[in-house]
Amino acid sequence: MNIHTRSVNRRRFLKAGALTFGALGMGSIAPFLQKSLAGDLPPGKKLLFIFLRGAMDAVQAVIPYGDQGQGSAKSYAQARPNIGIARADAHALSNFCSLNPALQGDGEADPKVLDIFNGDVDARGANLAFLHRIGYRNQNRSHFSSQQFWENGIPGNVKLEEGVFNRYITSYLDEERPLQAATLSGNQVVLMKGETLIPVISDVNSLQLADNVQLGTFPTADNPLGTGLKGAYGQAGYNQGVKYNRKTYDTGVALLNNLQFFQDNVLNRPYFPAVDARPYFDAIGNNGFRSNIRDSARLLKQIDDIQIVGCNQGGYDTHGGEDTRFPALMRDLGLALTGLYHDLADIWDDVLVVTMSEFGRTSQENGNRGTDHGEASLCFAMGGAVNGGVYNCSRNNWDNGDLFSTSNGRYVAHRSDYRNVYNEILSRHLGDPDEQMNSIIPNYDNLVNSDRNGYFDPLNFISA
Amino acid sequence: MIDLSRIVKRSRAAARSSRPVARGGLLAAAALFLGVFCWQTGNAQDGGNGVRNADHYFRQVQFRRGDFNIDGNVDVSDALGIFNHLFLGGAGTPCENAADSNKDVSIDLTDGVYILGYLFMGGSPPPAPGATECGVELTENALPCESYDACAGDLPLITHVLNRITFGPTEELLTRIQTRSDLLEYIEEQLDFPSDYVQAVDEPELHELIEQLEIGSVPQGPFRNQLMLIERLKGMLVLDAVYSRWQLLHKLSVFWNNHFHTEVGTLRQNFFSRGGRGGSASRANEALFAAMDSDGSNSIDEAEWTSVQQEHPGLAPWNAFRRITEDGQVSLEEFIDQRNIAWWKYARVQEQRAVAASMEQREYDYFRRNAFGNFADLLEGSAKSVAQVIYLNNYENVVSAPNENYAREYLELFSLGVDHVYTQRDIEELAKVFTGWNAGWQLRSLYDATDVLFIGHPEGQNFPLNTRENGGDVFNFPDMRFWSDEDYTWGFHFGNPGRPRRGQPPPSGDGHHSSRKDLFLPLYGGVDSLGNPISPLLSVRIPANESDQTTVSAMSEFDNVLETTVSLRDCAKFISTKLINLLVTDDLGALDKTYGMPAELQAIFDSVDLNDDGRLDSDEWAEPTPDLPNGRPPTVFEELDTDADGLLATLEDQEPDILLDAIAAWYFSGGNIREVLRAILFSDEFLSLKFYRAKVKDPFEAVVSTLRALDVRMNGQNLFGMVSDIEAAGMEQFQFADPTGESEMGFDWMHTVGLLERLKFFNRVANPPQPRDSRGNWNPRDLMNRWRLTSDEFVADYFSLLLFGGDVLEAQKVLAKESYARGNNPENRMRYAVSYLLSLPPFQKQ
Repeated sequence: MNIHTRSVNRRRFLKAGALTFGALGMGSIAPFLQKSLAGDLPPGKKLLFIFLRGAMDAVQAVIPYGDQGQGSAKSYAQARPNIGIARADAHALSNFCSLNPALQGDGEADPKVLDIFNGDVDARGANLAFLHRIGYRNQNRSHFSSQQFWENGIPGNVKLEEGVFNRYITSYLDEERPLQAATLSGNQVVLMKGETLIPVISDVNSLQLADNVQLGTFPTADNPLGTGLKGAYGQAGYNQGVKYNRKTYDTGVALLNNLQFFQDNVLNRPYFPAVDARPYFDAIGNNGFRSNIRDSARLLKQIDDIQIVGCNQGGYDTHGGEDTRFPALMRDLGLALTGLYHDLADIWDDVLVVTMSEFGRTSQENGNRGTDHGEASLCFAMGGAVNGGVYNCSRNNWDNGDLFSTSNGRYVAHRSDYRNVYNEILSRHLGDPDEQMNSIIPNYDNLVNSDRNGYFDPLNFISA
Repeated sequence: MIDLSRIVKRSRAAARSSRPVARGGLLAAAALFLGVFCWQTGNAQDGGNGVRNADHYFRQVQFRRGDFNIDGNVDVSDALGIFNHLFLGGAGTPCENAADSNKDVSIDLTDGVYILGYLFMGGSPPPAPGATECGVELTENALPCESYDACAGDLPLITHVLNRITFGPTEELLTRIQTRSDLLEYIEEQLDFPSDYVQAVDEPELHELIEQLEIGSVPQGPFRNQLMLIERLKGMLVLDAVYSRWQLLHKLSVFWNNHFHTEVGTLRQNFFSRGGRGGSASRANEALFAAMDSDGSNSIDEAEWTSVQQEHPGLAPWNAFRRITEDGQVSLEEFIDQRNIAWWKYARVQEQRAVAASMEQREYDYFRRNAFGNFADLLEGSAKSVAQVIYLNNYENVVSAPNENYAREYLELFSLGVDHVYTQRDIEELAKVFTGWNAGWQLRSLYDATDVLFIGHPEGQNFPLNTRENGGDVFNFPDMRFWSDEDYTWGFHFGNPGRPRRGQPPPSGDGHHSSRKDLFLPLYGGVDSLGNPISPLLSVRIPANESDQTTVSAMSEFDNVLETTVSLRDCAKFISTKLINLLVTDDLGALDKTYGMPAELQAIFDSVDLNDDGRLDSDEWAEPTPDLPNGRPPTVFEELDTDADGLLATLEDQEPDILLDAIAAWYFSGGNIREVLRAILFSDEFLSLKFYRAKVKDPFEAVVSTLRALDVRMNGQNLFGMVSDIEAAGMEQFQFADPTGESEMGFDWMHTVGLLERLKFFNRVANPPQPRDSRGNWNPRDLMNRWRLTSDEFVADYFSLLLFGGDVLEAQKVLAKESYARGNNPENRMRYAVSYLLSLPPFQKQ
């Protein structure tokens, strides 16, 4: 396994083209080649990911009431005497598991995740899936490490600051698409870090500089100095051997290109979420999350060629007070999903919304109405291509006692590898015509071929 | 990479025109024949407010004395050159001071003779800086030196070091530190921060400014102005970083505060929304209830509450308090319900925020005071800081179900690094050690002075913590306590050491785990950062303790763990690595590795290298090996595999020289941070240009370095504007969401949104588009007058020197001059140029 020496595919030459030097006319690939290099990606497919930071309590979100316990392994109700949710209060998803009540309410501005799951909102059908028991072998219980593994796609590699989604974008970089991906956040996430410089946007409306700042022009053959800030960041004479020099200059070029792009294409087109989405967006309690979700929807709707948009929801490290903190987090997430469901209706068949989190939590509550770091995680997936349903959480695949099924008897053991989820998202939804998955998810073919435990069996939440 | 000639070569026409021009050789020869041996060429009449080398602004040219022909050597050609110049009309020299061999402030016959005497007659060498060393003129009374290319000057190194150990160069520092030896002196001075430092005495102006802004002082009375809101604390950090002369200290204070991060919002939420759990806070609550219940009815009504509240105005008024009861009568059960605890006193969110910020400030003060001290004190101070006890839930860590949160981060984030030495089992064991830890407040009048629960209660006995640096003096109490007003004392305290005893009411806290606790046992399978199994000698075995259930006994368990923790090599390595990341480079792979692999490590390597090919692959790594733990974790393999080729070569097992030196300093000093810093800062690698400008400034550093360079005047308004600019660029001190604290890695700080917000900040400060934007409280006029910065050339040169140590692409300098032209008056033009210069790529680096 060595992602640094994987064969350089031809498209990577374009990496600086679209997102950094595209506007300079300095792309090194002749235009007639670009089309053929761009691959035959399915047109218009888009992904929005929401990373739930802090380890979302999977069995508190989708509750496996059907697990009756086994021997010393308790049932959910026994393991969670103080923070457990009574089955009658939760919303049944099946006769085995139920949905956290904070994800569905009767009020006008309450989330409607159950309705979406049931396909009761409109004619779109049931396009929401819950993927339980997602993880990887030798689960690491450090937030930092496990987020790193989820994001760089290599369990065990804590250092690599290169994300799965960045590798995808790099593999299918297309100079004709001016903005293929963006992160809505105050900082870049590892999933989007890597060879291609993907912009980070904290607030779409703030993407402009004061009038007295001159964006200027990039250097050209005729005017090697250029003008204004573009002139400064477009210089090539700096010492590339000094660490972060190239990154600094490239970031400047990407930023200045973005400012220009947004000035010309987005900021002049006011955005109002769909009328039936607004109450849900407006009710999201966390200001930053609300703004990032609305901006995500805006980019997905206003930029035709955008492929991947990402944002975060933080605060899931509920070691204490989970009975008050978790419902608030679930409610915000539910409102976001419900708002997105309505706002993205026009592009529903092309869009996929997915959540992920670094691991789940202890099945047994601790002494202060909280839970500690655990193992298997839960993903939400929603969109026109999604086969709605609950995965890995039914009588067929969840035995009594599985709440404590890891070897130390403390956590829910995983059944599906998270890279398997990525594979369905990337190859079945966004498309992988050049069969690059083995470099996007390092060593993927080997993992699949050597799997004897079913960790890489397709979940089929997206049809092949 | 650095064009040194540009640094020293600039000429300045305006200055030259106002200076007496050096007379030509003929005139000198005439004077000589007239018996006038001396003539002055000095620039005593030159402008520049007494600064000698106006051509170079605040920098002086370095030279070798006696080197008339500026070829880098003092030899006979220099003497001949002087004679030729004086008597035959030969060329002069651009560095007259160098030609003044005997330092008599004139160039005459005696200078040539002096050189010959020195070279051939055993005469004295030329006065300082001498004939062989490069140096600057140290006296006021000297001839000028326009340029001297043979001495490169130490500006790049000085800029590099100042960028790392301070929050950025200033004109004052660059004036003071002219040479490498000045620089070494400065580093020593910075390390020599006085332990008895009192800001009001040592830095009265800074203290006064902080006082004026009403930040940094503990307010009198119950939160009159919410003085301690976190924004003010952040503002104080900015002021300290901009103005204090103890730059390295503040750099380290910010570092420790970030290393032992606590998040103020979670802190408030944990404590005030949910209340503390158990411990003596509840016991005090019971006593308080009894004191309030004047009619003995086992409930408190409005009249009873109001009567007590009038005596203790800090208590919430009845209306706020009443919410915890439905019937208007507060029962004991309602009163001591953990979720209501905080409402008695701090009913308003603003008050809660103020208390939480106060906790943060106490913690920050502690880190600042101990920034160069012993790591064990820092770790202990953090563990027992009220902010940390609450933030990572240690105050809720109870016997019946231990909370692992703090125990995990103690090992992972604060002392050893991810997965080094410890295992999940160690976390579970350590969580038991922390059971019973608590934080809370207690009504002072109810305090039982015989019950040693509070550390350092003013009326009680201080808990005898071990300070490792000051020979075991009682721990400096005010650092640990975070609040004490007329009625209440807050602090870290230990809940209850014992279990319920027969015939006595149960303690309200769950107390301390009295069972045995074993940490760092080899059988847990922990491995250190080099993949070695841990030695049984380092195991901590704490026997079950049912008999001695005193606070002292329970707290000594932590002392035991602490002592072992800081003695682990991985603790020294982890902390030293973070300091190297902070000060030298975040690219450990680029550091020199010349020390070779220690023999014991080589032996381990060889035993794992089953096929003896000199490399380890992941299968060999995972293979059970005699004397080594089975299946060494892949995480460690990946960590060691620095080139990520799936193989471990011998060299990859080595650690960088500078790290090994830092670890050695740690050992010899018993974990003294000042000594570790000394090892790093005086290393050849740090004192070189190897990592020159190879780090990215974080937003705090970007903002503060700007304010320092421009000497922007601060007031309450612009300060808070700048605090929000730092946040907009992605850095939220005291409010970062994860316990990891903010990153020290450059790749985390260079992204489009961060750069965008910086560019906005630079423009707001230097060239505010809104005239009323208070951030633009920079007055360029003083600077313009002082240095006569009246042309694009002068402005570009001056700021190139100040901001970039002279090292900036010529093209960017030309573009800066074009920016200058966009203004409509001299001041405005300078603002355009400076906004542009600050926005350049090199200013984003350090």
